[in-house]
Amino acid sequence: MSGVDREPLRAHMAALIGGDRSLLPADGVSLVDEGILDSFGLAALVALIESHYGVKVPDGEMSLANFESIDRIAGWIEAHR
Amino acid sequence: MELISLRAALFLLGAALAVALPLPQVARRSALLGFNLAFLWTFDPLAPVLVLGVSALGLLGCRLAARGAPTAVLLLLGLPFLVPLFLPKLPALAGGEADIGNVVGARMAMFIGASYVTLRSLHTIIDARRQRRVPFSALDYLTWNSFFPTIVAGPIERADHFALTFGRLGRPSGDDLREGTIRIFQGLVKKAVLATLALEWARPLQAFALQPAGLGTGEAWVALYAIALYAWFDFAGYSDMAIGAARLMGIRLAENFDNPYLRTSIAEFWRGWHLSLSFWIRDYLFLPLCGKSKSRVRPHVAAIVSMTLCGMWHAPNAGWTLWGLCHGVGLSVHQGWTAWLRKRFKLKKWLAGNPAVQLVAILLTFHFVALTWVLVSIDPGRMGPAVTYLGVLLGRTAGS
Repeated sequence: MSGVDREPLRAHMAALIGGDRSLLPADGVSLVDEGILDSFGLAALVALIESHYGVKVPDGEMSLANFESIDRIAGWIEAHR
Repeated sequence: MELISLRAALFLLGAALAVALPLPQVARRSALLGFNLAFLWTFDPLAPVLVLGVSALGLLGCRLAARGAPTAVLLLLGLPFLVPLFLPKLPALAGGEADIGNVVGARMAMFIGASYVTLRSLHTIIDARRQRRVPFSALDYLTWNSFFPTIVAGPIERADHFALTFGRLGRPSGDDLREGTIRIFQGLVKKAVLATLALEWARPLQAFALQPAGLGTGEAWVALYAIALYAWFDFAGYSDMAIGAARLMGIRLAENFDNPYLRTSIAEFWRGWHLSLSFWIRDYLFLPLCGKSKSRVRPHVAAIVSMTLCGMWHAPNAGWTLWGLCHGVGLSVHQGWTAWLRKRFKLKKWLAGNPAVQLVAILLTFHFVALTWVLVSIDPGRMGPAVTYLGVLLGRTAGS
């Protein structure tokens, strides 16, 4: 497990589905497959990663594959800070 | 060269055998480049020169971008890429015949303007700028960018994906040979049989600009469905043949179609239709236009702009521009609906799991896409006939 604080990520995703955290899938489950995250939501997620975690996301790294689940997002942040 | 002909089959066989000779990879790749240029030459003697020119420009752009050249320099370098896209419009702009055949070089301009070579070149420049590296040596770059199975109508094979199997050039496995042959056969059936049949049924739509009178509503709907099927069979059939031909040489191309007409939304449609173009648009237009912004509006604007440009890439005329705009607006509206529904997550899940709802969604998506084909299938240069045709679909009478 990475040492990244996942709460802001979970809060961001929960806000997308109306705020009910009990409906969020487990951290390892694909947010794309669940219909929570798509290309339209990627920019806002990247903005959150940059502003909250202080990690710059290069243009070439902006893809759903890198940020598909909470686990993958946290892993990416951990690897790049 | 006719793509479905004995000559084309012999050409492919010759290329597959030539690159399979027990020679060093440099010699195999040089041989393939020779076949690529010979293939282009059969279309027009100047086509190899133009494709090599655009590719050389792309390679130069890559090298400059990898060294961190200023954006202004790269934009200046990119301008010539746009010229082929608009050359076919010159006759009309000059007030003369709209027949592109009347303009010297316009045939090649259409050929490379259609412009898979351009999109491939541009993506390597953008990636080189991002990653600070050039994907291929000069020989490999030219060979990849003029790869004859993909030169006419894609897929827009990206350099990084092509590189995965480029080392196996001329060394196809048994699976490659079997799968390649099957894909070519599947492509032939789609393109030569199914697309031809569908086209027959679509004739009233295609001929509508010249023969609008007497077309009934029922016949118009049948022709609409037929043109939608024709577009799919023809294009997917070509992609199958390109993928199969490459496979015979040991190269695996990215897939280009995945049941596009069985999708439950316009966003899903673009995950099944012309994937190499749709992913190109997403990665090199849509996402950069979105930026890294929390704005809710900006992705909608980005989608509409990206898809309108996508339409203009097909051809810079009213029909294709409007086609792109419709798809962009469709994506934006769908996203608005999705965002609303996502807030009601239980309802969203229920709808996604309900077969009847899914069937309705598939039908709605298919009809939206089919109706947009009207814009580009009658006379993309003017919208009057397309609008009249849409009226016939709604029960109005044409030409009386």
